Amino acid sequence: MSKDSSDLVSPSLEANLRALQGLYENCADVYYREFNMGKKKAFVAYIDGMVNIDQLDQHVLAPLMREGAADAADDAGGLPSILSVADAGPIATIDEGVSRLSGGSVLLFVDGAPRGFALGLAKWEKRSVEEPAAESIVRGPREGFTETLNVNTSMLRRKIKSPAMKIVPFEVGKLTRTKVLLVYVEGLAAESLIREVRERISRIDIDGILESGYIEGLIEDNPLSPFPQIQVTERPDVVSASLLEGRVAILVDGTPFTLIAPSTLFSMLQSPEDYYQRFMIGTLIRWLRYTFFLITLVLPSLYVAILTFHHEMVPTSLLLSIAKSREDIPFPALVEALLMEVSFEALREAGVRLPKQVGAAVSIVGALVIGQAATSAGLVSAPMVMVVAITGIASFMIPQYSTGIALRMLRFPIMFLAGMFGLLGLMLGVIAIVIHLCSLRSLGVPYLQPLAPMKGREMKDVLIRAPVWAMRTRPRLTGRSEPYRQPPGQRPKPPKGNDPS
Amino acid sequence: MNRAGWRYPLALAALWCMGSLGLTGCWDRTEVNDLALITGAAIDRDEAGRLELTVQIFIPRASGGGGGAEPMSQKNGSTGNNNTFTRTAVGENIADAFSHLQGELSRALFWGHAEVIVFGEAAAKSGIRDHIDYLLRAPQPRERAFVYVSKGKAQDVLQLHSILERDTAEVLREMSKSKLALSVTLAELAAMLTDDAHSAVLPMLTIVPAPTFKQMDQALSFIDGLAVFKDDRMIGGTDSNAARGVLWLRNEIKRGIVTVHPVGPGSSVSLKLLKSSTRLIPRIEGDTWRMDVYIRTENDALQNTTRLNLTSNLQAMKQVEAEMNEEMKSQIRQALVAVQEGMKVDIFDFAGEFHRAYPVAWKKEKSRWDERFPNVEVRLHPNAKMLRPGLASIRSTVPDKEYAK
Repeated sequence: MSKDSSDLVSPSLEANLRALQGLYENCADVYYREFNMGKKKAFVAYIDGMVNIDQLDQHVLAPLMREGAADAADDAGGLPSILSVADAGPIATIDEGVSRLSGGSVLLFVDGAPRGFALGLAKWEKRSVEEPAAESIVRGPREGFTETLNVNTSMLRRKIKSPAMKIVPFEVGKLTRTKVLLVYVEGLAAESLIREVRERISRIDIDGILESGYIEGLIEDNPLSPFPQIQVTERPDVVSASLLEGRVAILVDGTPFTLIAPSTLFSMLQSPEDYYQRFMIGTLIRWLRYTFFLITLVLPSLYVAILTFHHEMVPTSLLLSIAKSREDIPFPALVEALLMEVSFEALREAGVRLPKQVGAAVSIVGALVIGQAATSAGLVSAPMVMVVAITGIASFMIPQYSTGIALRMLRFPIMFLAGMFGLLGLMLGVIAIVIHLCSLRSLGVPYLQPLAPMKGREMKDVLIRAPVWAMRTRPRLTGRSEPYRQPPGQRPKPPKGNDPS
Repeated sequence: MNRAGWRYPLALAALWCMGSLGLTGCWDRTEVNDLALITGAAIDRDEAGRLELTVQIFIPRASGGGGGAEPMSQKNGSTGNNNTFTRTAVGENIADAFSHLQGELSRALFWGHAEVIVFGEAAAKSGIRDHIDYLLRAPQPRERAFVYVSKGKAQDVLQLHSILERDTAEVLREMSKSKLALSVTLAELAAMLTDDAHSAVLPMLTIVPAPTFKQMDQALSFIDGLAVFKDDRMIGGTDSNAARGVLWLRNEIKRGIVTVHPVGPGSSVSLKLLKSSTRLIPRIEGDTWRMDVYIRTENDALQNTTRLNLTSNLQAMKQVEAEMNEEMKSQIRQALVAVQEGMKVDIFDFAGEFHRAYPVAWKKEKSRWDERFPNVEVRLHPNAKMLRPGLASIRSTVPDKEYAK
């Protein structure tokens, strides 16, 4: 941003108009309206579709064009005082004006005035607040973030009303000039963490940010890992909970998906509903999820390994019935598994991309192809269909979609290893993954945090979901500010001693 | 060296390693489709003294593949099954016979699921140590396979048809698992043969011929009595009554029904055994070696056809318990007469008990154990408890008045 004299707002109306028109050459959506304020000339500039025209007419143009307004305009600073617009501020440079203009403000220039004014009358079509489709829930708030940044921040502010919740703005992207907000709760998030995130965001030098995925890809610790190191959510309640744990959130304009960092593998495996339902079912579901996490990763490989190398490990009756159903299958178990897994992945991907009208047809065909037809055509054995189906269901059990993707990808190399070396290969693959997970960090926090390095106190939210009154401490992420959430003795119980009643 | 300098060879090395992985892969891969799964094996000795190995092989195609596509009605009906077939080969030892057998078959024979191993009587009598050596040494056969001796040829047992179960091997395995009779696994057999007593005992199979010619496939085999081994040779068998006594002594009886006659023949009480534990306490007093056998059992009354009121009459209960003790004693005596006095083989592991209790004395007497064993005095202390006499205190067939007498 050069601050030379040509960039400054000039007192000459003509010069300003020319400057703007020069910048927005061939931009049909930029409108200029010239008018007279008494004797003075003035003009407003705005972008069509981003401005509330009604308010512009009523609260800006009408009072200005009335007689007498011109006197107020003599005193350049006095203009906002006669305009019934909440957000009306002066602008000193054309560049500043441009950024306000593209943000939906109306620019007002008056002849002879040394500064222009930006009037915040932005209004454009936005999606209403809806339940997030990808993170549905039985019990809990049903609102989800939208593409509009201020709607999102308002949702957060409604949840955490304390002024300790800070929102720091950034502008990222040379062309898109996307607004990026860093949100944290002062006193809970470690200073070092905030500094690090700030630094990483300001380091970004890119032409455009279209989704928070861009930011994620540019600030994560290990960009080559299949595992996501930053949690993504479109639920304000999840973001608020993370803020209260001392994490930071990064909101990006134009997408409902918000980044949460630092995050650990276990935070990826937690659903907000774990906390809203009673703690026993929360614990149980959590374990179910851990089990299916493993199943997604290794079940097809286990099946392949045992059927190709370790026949003695299956109970006899089971092996006999598998042998029966596999008798006419022309492929080795590995090929069979790959065939099914790949077609399942294809089906899933197609299901996401297809227009809704065709979707139903595809799912029917898919179910038939995968289930019935493949077995009766003798291409795939029935147990393999079972294995693939369970694996498919298991991968949907992981709340964090990107973690599910990581597992789905890693399933294939492990399957190859299992097909080549049996259980030995399977273990090799699993060990490699565990080593990798141990070495991962999310903004400096070890990815397997409460488990490795072991933090006994934090197991209350990993091995079990402790009752709310027992979760007294925050997870220790990078710092240790304000460790306690609540005083002890919150457990509800009948009053002791002589009850007067 | 600069970074770019070693990056290239490193990448090349990684690529080379990955490529070689692919080359070595799968060398020992065997699909289930290439396996002939052995469900059971029989070991016989023919007239010439050679070994006959018979294996029962599962036919995956027989019952019309699982595929899921075939309608269920195609399942073969009541005519038993042809899930399996048997194949016999002759050889010098198991390994030799096995290799001949493999030569005749298109698929790789797989021992991993052979759950029963049957020795023919002739093979058992000529010694089983060499066979056990193969079964334990080869990696595939299971140590948990159940071992039997059959009267006559062992292969006949495997060739029977099974109506209830998948195949005859499964029939035998299920019988052993139910623990109604003696069950011995390969590992246990090996342990018995190497124990102090150098003896072993295996369940004995008998084939019951089909009731009529029409129902040829209904012949079946069941465990009837025991085969007693001295060293590795079978030297005799016992009947099923004595077998029960052996089980008591070996603390292997887990379930069973005992019928006693507390008020003389004609009416009886049947007791269901819930729990039984046997303790052997060896004693050496001077030159007499003695074994005290304490047996505690807990029982339910299952049926009562006597006039005893088991519910209210404590005396009657004591009477039944005493009779039960007598019954246990008599069964054990039978076993002792047959085995200790008849065959003079220590299949109860008295040797081990003495060894543990009197290590010094044992060391001296170890070599003379075979002479010592028949003279060990066995004292029985059975202690039967009837826990649940049942709720019905009055037999419906006996009028109250008569009962009151």
